[in-house]
Amino acid sequence: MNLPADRLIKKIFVTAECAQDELTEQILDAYPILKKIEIESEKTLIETTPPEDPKKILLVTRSKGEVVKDCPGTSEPYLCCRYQVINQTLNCPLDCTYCILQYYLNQPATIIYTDYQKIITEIDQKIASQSQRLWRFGTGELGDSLALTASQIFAIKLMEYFAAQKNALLELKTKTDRIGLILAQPHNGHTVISWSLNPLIIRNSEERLAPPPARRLNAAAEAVRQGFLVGFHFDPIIDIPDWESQYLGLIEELYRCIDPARIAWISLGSLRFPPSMKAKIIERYPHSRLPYGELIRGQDQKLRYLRPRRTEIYRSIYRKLTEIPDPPFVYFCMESPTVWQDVCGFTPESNAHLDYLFAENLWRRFPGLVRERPRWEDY
Amino acid sequence: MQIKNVAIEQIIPAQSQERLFVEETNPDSHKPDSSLFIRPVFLHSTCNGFIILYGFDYISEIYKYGGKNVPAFVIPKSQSLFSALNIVTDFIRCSRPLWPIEVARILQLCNHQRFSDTKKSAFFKKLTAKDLTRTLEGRYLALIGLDPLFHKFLIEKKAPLKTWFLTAECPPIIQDLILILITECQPSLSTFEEISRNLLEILRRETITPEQLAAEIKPILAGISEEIQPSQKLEVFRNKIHERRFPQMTIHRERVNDFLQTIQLPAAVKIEFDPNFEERGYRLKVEIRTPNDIVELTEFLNSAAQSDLKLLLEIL
Repeated sequence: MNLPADRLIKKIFVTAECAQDELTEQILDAYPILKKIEIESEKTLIETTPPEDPKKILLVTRSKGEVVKDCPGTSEPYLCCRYQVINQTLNCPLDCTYCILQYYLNQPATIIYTDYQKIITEIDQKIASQSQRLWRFGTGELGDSLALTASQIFAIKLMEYFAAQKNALLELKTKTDRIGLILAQPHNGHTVISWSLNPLIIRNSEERLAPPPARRLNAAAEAVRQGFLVGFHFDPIIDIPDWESQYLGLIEELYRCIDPARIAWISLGSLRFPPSMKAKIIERYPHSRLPYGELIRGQDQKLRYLRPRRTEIYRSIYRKLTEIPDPPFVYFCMESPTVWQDVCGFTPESNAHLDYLFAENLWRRFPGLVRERPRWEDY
Repeated sequence: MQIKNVAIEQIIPAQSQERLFVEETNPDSHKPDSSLFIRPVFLHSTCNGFIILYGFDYISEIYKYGGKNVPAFVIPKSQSLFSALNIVTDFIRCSRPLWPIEVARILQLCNHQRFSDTKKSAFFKKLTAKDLTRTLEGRYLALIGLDPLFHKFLIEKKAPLKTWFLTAECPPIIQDLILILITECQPSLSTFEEISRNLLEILRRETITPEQLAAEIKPILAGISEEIQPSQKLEVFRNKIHERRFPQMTIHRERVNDFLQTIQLPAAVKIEFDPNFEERGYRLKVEIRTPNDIVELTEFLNSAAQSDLKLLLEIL
């Protein structure tokens, strides 16, 4: 229990079915001073405990359905990269105003699944279904991969598994900088640690519980020193009055701290959320200006900045990211073919093609990381 | 509970009391044997006389015409004010839900009477099916400060709770401007909501005071010709506010429209595009009614307009 976010946790509930699991034992040991309450099932928690902030309660239990899924992404015509999400930690202790989790995860607690073996079986099945494809998995979709010790314990187990895989990578996506436990683990190059980045001014207003970008970059630099590949996500990009100097300054800082040759990928995605989330952000964060940006309804019905404005912002950021020799792979998360074309001068033909471009780039830039040269027909 | 005839002089004068409920008159009152009022008077008996819980207007009418007594349901002294409120709200809710302003006034009364938080929350939950939080109570209480014209407008338009709250969130100087619109242009509820929300969101997004925004908007309102119809005046104002709220969209749209003006389209051809510009591209809608339309279209597509159409694609 040595991470800042762990201190938010006030109680731990453990369901009877997982009490003997190896991961449960490790997780409970990691929170020695917290009250542990054994309950029959998740239902018992809902029925017997008055509702509290789910970020302050850990529920350690076994999963009921599928944990490993295709990233939900968004609908056509927007392009997605066919990422695979491992939903082992559900909810995040960080309190970012724009985060969809706090509005849509309808659970009484932050849930940690302990049935590691079942989750590994699900990953195995995915990989076996298209064994020639390079698979990218990540735990950072429904929670921060590393903010809680409980999540780090699971991540360490996963790293061990992925180290032995030939055609699969694990991405641990985080906003935190306390990752010492992770850095000491063997990974065989198959774990990419990645950070979401926003300029300090945005961190101060919208990501107040997350460390400032400079600390995230220091952590990334340490990860590189320890032999990890790293990734960065400029997501959500927020249209503030001096966006250009802020984002370009951050990129300069990024390339000053991190050798671009060790960056596996960088994603760009502008602010977007379902319309119903607007009122919820206003209610929960009355001082945030995000909901009052110039947002229009996109073709997937999410609110987004106007396409010409997104293009203008992306162009500047993309140019800065790619003006160096042999730049990292830069891609858009949930963007339209029009934006791809206008910013990059090309557009992936499909989600599968984008997935292939990822693999091809990694194969080319990191010899030995991908078993064989990716073939388009395998995607 | 029975209806009793109560002497008006025993009723505590109306001006010393807070009016809790909106008292509707009967729209069919012109018909023979119809009453002007659709609900009876409710009084609560106290040591000092009767206080009016419902029926201010009824009693005023009777008093105006020299009546001495008023028929009323009298809730006895033995019942607390809290019970009396329960009875009256139950009665009203048989025919309609309470308006947000009524809930607000009840909350205010609960506070004045120092009802316990548990009692107040339970009553609130009964009336609204919502849990009472400090924030929510604050939002309700803010409705009391709205100009009565807003209350009337929002009730007439059957506005949802969020619109009541939105109105109350606008600073008073902005409310004054919106009131001018209501009195002069009678906007629909959706137009009212859109204008109010846009004004509020401009204020929240920018470093600008309500006074500065009002000073910016007043000339817009004053500059709209008095000769045009109120509905047109409203539309002009609405568009101006929309443009102010969405400046990038406005600039882009103007750029596209300016370019469209330069393309000499045949009468049978129209250009349509995504108004949000999310999708790049456009549809040429062609209506062929005569052979000449085909000739004109062919000439158009083979003319210099071709490069204009390509350029339009880029501009979009």
